[in-house]
Amino acid sequence: MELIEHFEVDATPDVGITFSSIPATFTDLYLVVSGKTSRTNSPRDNIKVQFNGVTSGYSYKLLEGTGSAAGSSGASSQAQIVITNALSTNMSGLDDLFGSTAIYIPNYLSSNEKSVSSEQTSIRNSTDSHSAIQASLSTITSPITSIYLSPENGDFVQYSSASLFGIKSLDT
Amino acid sequence: MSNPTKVVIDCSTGTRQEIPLSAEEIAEREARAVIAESERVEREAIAAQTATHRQAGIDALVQLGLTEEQITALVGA
Repeated sequence: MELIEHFEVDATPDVGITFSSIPATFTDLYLVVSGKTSRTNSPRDNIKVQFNGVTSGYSYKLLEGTGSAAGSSGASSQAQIVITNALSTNMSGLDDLFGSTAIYIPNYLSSNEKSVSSEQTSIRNSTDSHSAIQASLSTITSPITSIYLSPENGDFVQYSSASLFGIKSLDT
Repeated sequence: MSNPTKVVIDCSTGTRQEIPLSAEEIAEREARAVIAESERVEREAIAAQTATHRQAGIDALVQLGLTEEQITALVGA
């Protein structure tokens, strides 16, 4: 696994982060996000993901645990994948907490639709701890050359970071 | 706090552009946030209603005399 790019948000909040011109030299992509948003009315936020600037043809299914209950949800025909409860927020009392999310995109160069798996945790404390695994799909059949990440309800705030890794199979 | 920016990282060159949003983009973003919040409230209401229906179903099964083990076998933990 090789780091392609790493980005950390400075004092100016960011609406979104785009990794463009992703090299076509890997087999899979792995994206790690440590994130917090400017949202203040909830302890959790979601990450919206789009590939190649395409704004249609996304679907996902989610299995989630809150610490006291389990649930599932999903959506189809969406404008983006919504990685649910993946980020912490600026809500009072969450000062040092960042959400943790890993997004795996196998065969990103293929001419088939793209499957995406993710595991995410919004925050961890004694009153709220949402963790989830999620399967997502994009109907894009061209190689993925760019990835756009943006919080659903706020902006990425300082010290949030995103790292894009490339994974090569042994026979490439 | 400064106005938010959008960041574009060119993975082929390593160059990074932090682009301030235009007034139009800011307005569009605020409109989207209102819609997103409305959709979130709707999603949570549906989830809460589903949980209420589930519990009502379990309560009805208890009233019918099913044991906790039988109910768990039917509806899961």
